[in-house]
Amino acid sequence: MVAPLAKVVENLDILPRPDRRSIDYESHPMPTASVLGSRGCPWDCFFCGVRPFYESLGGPLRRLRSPREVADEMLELHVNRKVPIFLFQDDDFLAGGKNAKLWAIEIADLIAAAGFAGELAFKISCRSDEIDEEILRRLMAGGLTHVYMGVESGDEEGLINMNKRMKPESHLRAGRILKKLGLSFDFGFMMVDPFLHISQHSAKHIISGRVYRRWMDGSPVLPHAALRRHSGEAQTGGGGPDAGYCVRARL
Amino acid sequence: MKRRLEAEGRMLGIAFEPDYKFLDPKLDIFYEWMIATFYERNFTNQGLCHMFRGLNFEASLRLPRRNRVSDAQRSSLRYLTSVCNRVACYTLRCAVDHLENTPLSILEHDRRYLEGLTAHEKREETQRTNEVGQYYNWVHEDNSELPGPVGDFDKSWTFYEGDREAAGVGAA
Repeated sequence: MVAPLAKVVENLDILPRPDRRSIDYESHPMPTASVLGSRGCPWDCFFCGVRPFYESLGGPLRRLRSPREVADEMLELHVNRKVPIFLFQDDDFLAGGKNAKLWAIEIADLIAAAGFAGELAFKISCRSDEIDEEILRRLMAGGLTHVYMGVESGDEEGLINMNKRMKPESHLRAGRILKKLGLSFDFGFMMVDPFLHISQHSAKHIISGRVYRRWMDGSPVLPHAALRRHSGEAQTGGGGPDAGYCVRARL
Repeated sequence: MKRRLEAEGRMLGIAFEPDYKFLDPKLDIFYEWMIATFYERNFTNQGLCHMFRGLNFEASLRLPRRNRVSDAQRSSLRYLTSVCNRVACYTLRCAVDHLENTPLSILEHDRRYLEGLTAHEKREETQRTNEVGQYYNWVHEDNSELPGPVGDFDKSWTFYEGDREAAGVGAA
């Protein structure tokens, strides 16, 4: 059975917040809540289904909820449900140029302005080339604690193959900044490239690569391979009326 | 990617479960071996990757009314994470070197070397898991309400087996 694609909701603020009444945050010693600040991703990494999925719906490649709405949802959960840890499920929290960075900062600023700086913690996912010290400092003031990055490859050829549109130097720079700021971070990379022979394979480059060596002490390493089906680790992305199926197979 | 793989006759599976053959048959062997060897480490709640992600997250929390992880504990955790990564790295490199230097006709029938690597990795993981347990007890010896390992796999960020959303279900 094939259902038609749902209509895009351009203004995400009109959607109701998730109904969390059945969730027993109060009995957990340190509850966490998943939050979505946006939907979609403008990048076109060749292994990822996020952009093709949202592109097929039409509309902007990334839609943002208003910072106020995001911050209010978090603060409501914190004040009324005692949730201190928030895990943003956005595919790339900082994607979308300067406006997206300002959007992220505004969320953190609103949390701090409400008097909850240091009272809650949140985690985001982003690309290494979006890591900026000043931006992260602002986000930390609102509670940023952990960053996940999809590094995918430590060598230039591997990044080109994956259409990541970045160079390994971005990874190194990001690592330096994250360590300097004392943020915890972890990263995933693609072990196996479908378009390379083993003799030219990125696995060797990654394993012996500068990125991996320099990050090895602070972050558990998570090897992936692009779009394989065996793992059963496929994820569904987002939720709500127009969020459907974006397969980001881990292996 | 799909179009290219189809053109090369390597596309397998269906839209919901895409799969493909690698360009080099040796990589198919490597891939299958890698899954078998690292599945628990990387993709289960009992796996070291899950535990280290959570513990490193916990170690960087700066929340009030929560006992902080000390600098000594944080250093210890960083060391354990590093050892775990280096062991996995060593295992992977050995496998890639072996596959690269061994004819496919032999690889198809003789997996003893790869099986030995898997056994080595598993032994090391057992050792690391014990060390993680000791670290965990050290950090939580006062029974404080630190969150415990909040990780990722099996869509969970914590060992807590109560409410799934409260425990971070869906976190990635």
